[in-house]
Parts: sequence; structure tokens; C-alpha cells
Amino acid sequence: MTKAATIRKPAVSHIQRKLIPSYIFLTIMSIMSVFPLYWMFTAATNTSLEVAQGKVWFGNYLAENYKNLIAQQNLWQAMGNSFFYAIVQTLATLLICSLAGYGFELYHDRGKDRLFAILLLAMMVPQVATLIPLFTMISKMKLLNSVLAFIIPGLATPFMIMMFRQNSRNFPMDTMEAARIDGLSEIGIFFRMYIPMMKATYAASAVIIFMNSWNAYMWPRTVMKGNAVQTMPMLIANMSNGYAVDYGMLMLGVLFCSLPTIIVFFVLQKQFAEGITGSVK
Amino acid sequence: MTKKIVALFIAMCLMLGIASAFAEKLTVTAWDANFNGNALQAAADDYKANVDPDFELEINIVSGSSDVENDITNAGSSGDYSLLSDIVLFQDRYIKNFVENYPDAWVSLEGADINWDDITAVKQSYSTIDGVHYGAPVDNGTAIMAYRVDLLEQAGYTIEDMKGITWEKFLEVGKAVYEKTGKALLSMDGSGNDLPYMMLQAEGVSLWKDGKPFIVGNEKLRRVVELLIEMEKEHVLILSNDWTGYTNETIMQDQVAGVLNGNWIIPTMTQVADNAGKWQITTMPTLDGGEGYATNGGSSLYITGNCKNVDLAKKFLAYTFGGSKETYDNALRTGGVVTCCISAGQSDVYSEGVPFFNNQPVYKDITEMGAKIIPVEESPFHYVLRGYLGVAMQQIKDGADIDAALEEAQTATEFYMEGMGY
Repeated sequence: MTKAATIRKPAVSHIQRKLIPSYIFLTIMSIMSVFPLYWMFTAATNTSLEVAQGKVWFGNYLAENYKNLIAQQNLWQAMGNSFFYAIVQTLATLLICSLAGYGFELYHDRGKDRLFAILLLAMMVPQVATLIPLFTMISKMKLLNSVLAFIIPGLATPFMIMMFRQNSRNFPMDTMEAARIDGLSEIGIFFRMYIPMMKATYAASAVIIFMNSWNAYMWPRTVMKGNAVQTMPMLIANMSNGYAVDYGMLMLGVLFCSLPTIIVFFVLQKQFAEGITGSVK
Repeated sequence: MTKKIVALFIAMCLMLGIASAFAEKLTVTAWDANFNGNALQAAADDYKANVDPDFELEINIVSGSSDVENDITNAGSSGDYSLLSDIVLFQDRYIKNFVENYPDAWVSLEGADINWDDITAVKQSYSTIDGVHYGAPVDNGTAIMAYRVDLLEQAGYTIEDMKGITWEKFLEVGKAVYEKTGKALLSMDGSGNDLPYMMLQAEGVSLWKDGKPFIVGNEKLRRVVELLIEMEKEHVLILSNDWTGYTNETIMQDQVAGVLNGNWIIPTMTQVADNAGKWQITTMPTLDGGEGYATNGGSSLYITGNCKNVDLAKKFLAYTFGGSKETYDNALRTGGVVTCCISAGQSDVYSEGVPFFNNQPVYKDITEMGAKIIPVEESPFHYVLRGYLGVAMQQIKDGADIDAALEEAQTATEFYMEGMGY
């Protein structure tokens, strides 16, 4: 026992020594990744001049920044709008994309596979290229400045459909057969068997859709006009440009804008990891 | 009884609906809530108090002039102007292109009761197309040459010594200031260098000739570029990597003893409260000596084809930004917006000494300087040319031949314009 331990010890140390450069590299990268978040927190507590002069430690101007933010910007209205759009978008997209992914995988035939390949091609089209045609479509549908204008282009995204389709491969066909024998309708199987079993995929997808929707800027900026429909990214953009930017107030605004996505991610972190790897319960 | 209450409620709703339909309301889209937003609010308050108590102005704030410009392009491309506000604010250089490309998207200011002789010539030159006025002026982009008088004194100079000097003399003073104080006399955003444009304008020369870039063969531009390169070598000029570097590092971190830019740079300067009383402004130097006047930036308000109440929009713009002292006084107080209306610039508020500038009545001085600016040819491709000229200057600084680099900038700008169908 003692001999084995003596033999193994140098081997472990050797491995540890080999890992040192990796740890150094990872530590540096971690600091670089976390620093912007850290700076966001500290900057929100400093005056504009202190932020501009590069102060990276906490100050005592948080209350003043909050007072200015509330007085000068429609913060709570923008937060409310962002939550409303993001939640509606998340629920609607989850339903439509999961139905599509379910259909493509569990009722698949050659025709559907070809259709799916065409659908994937749509992922190659950059968003900017579709901006004007989409604007024209929404304008002809008389939907400009409405919640539908916000959510329609993101309702059925090839990426989400692909994610549900891939993860549906792990959905046991036996369960489906059993449900059919028990007399459950096809749509009943989707709602009563598929959705509960694919919870992890739904959670992962919800995180992605919510984040994309919350952070959306270019599309809402194109089809939504007016202070009443302003979202958080629009509010932040408005604050970040001007002849004299109040950086302390701006960073507090950025903090408010980042918190919901951070919370959603941490709450659903476990399910997110499971969903990305295609787990079925 | 319940039926009566319901009927009364419906009648009240109808009356409120009808009343709101007749309300004198306009919508406007602008950027920078603290600057343009406050100026528009000052105008709305003025009109409401003195003309129409029922007047309402809904101010929609976006992130920048480019947002408004993109909205116009989207609306023009799709032929749907329904998302445009009644009035929009954007930078002065674009209206000519917009009127050319989307003529039905605009309503001219013909018939509006504005005394155009009272508006500076340079401001009008941007937004007058074939003799027709489209834009109501908001802010004045007159360039200020501000100096830290305390630092000048350390080098043995006064603000008076800097008036009407040549750029050569400026370079000489700059060397002395750097030697004594370690600070540069000037700074600018290297990636969006506005100095050549302003320095040339003070000479009455444009970067454009007959709609084409005027870089090759522009002798004054060549002299300006040589001077700027020399200034940078001698630590008289700091060219920052970007705009944030220019404002946050060179101005707000106190690295410079001089600032030359449109007067909208003042709110950036005043953020450093410790420097209050140390700054003063004067006219800018010129190549051969004499007081120089230039402009940089500035924007105007335009009535769109989506405006539901054109008469009201014209009346509102004419009464307020057309020359109301109350509007401009409050726009200056609350937003720091300086007028280009000559008579409004002579009010008591404008004549007050400003403590930050050693009690100099800077706003009165700026409006007077604005009236002396010589209009030069402008182009919607100004920023494209500015970018290529900035690249050329970087190449020259790194040792490239000046004529070859300038020719490359000319060719690149022309190529870009050809690609855009010009």
C-alpha cells in the first residue's frame, strides 16, 4: 500500500505540473471574461467622470445614479415591455418550434427530410439581408409597432427547430406506441407525453429564446417606434449616445438590463446543460 | 340606474376620444434626451404657454442621428412612411440626398413664418434645396477654439496672443506649452478626424468640388495635412484611437490645453468641474493668419410626409425654432443647445458670463462667430471621405508619400461613391 502510494505520488505531481500552464491560461481568460461584469457593477456606483477616468473600484454614487436613471428614463416601462415581449416570444416560439421538431423527427419521411434541409439553408441568410423585405412584409400586414411585429420573424427559427428535432431522437418510440395503444391521440401524445419528457430541451431552448428576445435590438428598432414600446436594449442605446454621456447612469442601466438574463440562466442552468446534450426524462 | 351609468360612461369616453382627436398634438423623433430632447421640450413649453394651451408634443428619443436616417431609408425603400414621426431631427448633411431619393417623404417649410435673414447663412446652406427651405434649425455647430488660460500662462502666452494667429504660430505655442506643462495643445479622434474639415472651412475651402472629392490638387488640404502630422510629431496634437479616447482620455483626463470642435463639445469639457474658470474660447487660427470661423455638426428639424397636421407643424417650428428667445434661452439653460438664430443669440441669457469659461459670455460669442462662417460645398459622403482621409494621414505618419496617400484617399472615396450609384 505504502509502496504503491510512493510510486503514484510522483506521477500525480507530474500531471499537476503539466496542468499548471493550462490553469494559468484559464485563470487569465476567466479574469478577462469576468472583468466586464465586475466593471459593470463598480461603474454603476461611480460618477460619470470617475468611470471615464478609469476607476475600477466601488464608489458611493449608486443612489444618485439610480435617482438620475429613474428621473431621466422610462426604466420600468422599458423593463415591462422587454419582459412582455420576451415572455410572449419564448412561449410562442417554444410551442411552434417544438411541434415542428417533433413532426420532422417522429413522422419523418424522405420528403420531410428534404424540406428540413431547405429549412437549414435559411440559417445561412444573414439577418441584415432580410431586414428590408421583412419590414415591407410587416408593413403590408399593417402590423408595424405591435407585439406581433416583434415576435413574428422569430417564431419559427431553423436553429430551434433543429434543436428540437435532434433532441427528439432520444424520445423513445416505444412510449409513443404504448400511448397510441392506450388510445391517446397524436396531438395528445405531444402535449401529454412529449412535452413532459422533453422538459430539459424546453428549458434549454427557453433560455436561448428568452436571451435572444431580451437582447434583440436591430429588428425592434426597425419596426417599433415611440417611447411607449421601447425595450431595454433600445433604452440603453439611447443613453449611450449623446454629447455628454453619463457613464455611471448608463452602467446602472446596463446592470438592470443584464440582471434578468443572468437570473434566467442561473435558475435554469442545470436544465440548460441537460437540454443542450439532449437529455430525456 | 345601471343603464344610465353605463350610457354616461360611454358618452364620457366618446367625448374624451373626440377631444383627444382634436388635440393639437405633434410627434417628433430626435436623439440625445439631455441635449435635443431638452431643446424640444423648451420649444413645446414655449408654444403651449404662449400660443396654444392645448398643444402637445410627443418626443420620441432614439440612440443617434443614424437611427433616424435608417428609419427614413427603411420607410423610403418600402414606401411606407407610417412609422415616421410628424417631425424628425437628423444631421444636416443628409437632407439633399433624402429629398432627391424620397421626394414625397418631405414637406418643405414654404409658407412658414420664419425670417430666414435671421438664421446663419451656413445653417441654411445645408437644408435649402433649389431655393426651397426644408429644415428648421436647432443647434449651432459653430467651432470653438478653447484654451486653458492657466496653462498658456505657464508657457508665457495669453488668450489674446492666440487670436488671429497662423497655424505655424499655434505649433510654436504648442511646443512651448508641451515643454512647460507636458500637455498637448490639441486633440482629436484619429479614426474620425474632423480637424482637416474645420481647418479648411476656416479658409473658405471645401473637401468637395462639383459633387466630387477634392483631395488631389487641393493645396490648402495638403498644407493642413502636413501641419497636423508635424503637430503630432511635436506632441502638440494627440490623435486618439477613437471618439471615446478623444473625449474620455484627452479631455476628461486632462491631457490637453486646447480643444477645437463644434460647440457641442462644451458639455464634455464641463464634466471636469475642477477646471472651472480655467478655460476661455476664441476664434481658430488660419493658414496665413487672421481669425478663422468654422462649423462641425449640428442638425435640423424636418416635417415628414407622414405629418397629419402640416399647418400646425409649420406654425410650431416657425414660432419656436424660427427665432423665439424663450425657446432658445431655455434650450441653452436646460440642454446647452446654442442657437443659430442671430437675434436670439443677443438675449440677456446669452450675454451672461459663464463661470466655467472665466465668466466669458461664450454663448453670445459663439452665435456671433456663427454668423461669420463662410458656407462651403457639402456632401452626404462627408463621413466616407473623412474616414479615408484619416487612413491617409495614418499612412503619412508611418512614412508613406503624402501625395500618393492623398491620391489613394481620393480614389477610394470615388470608388465608394460609384458603388452607391454616384
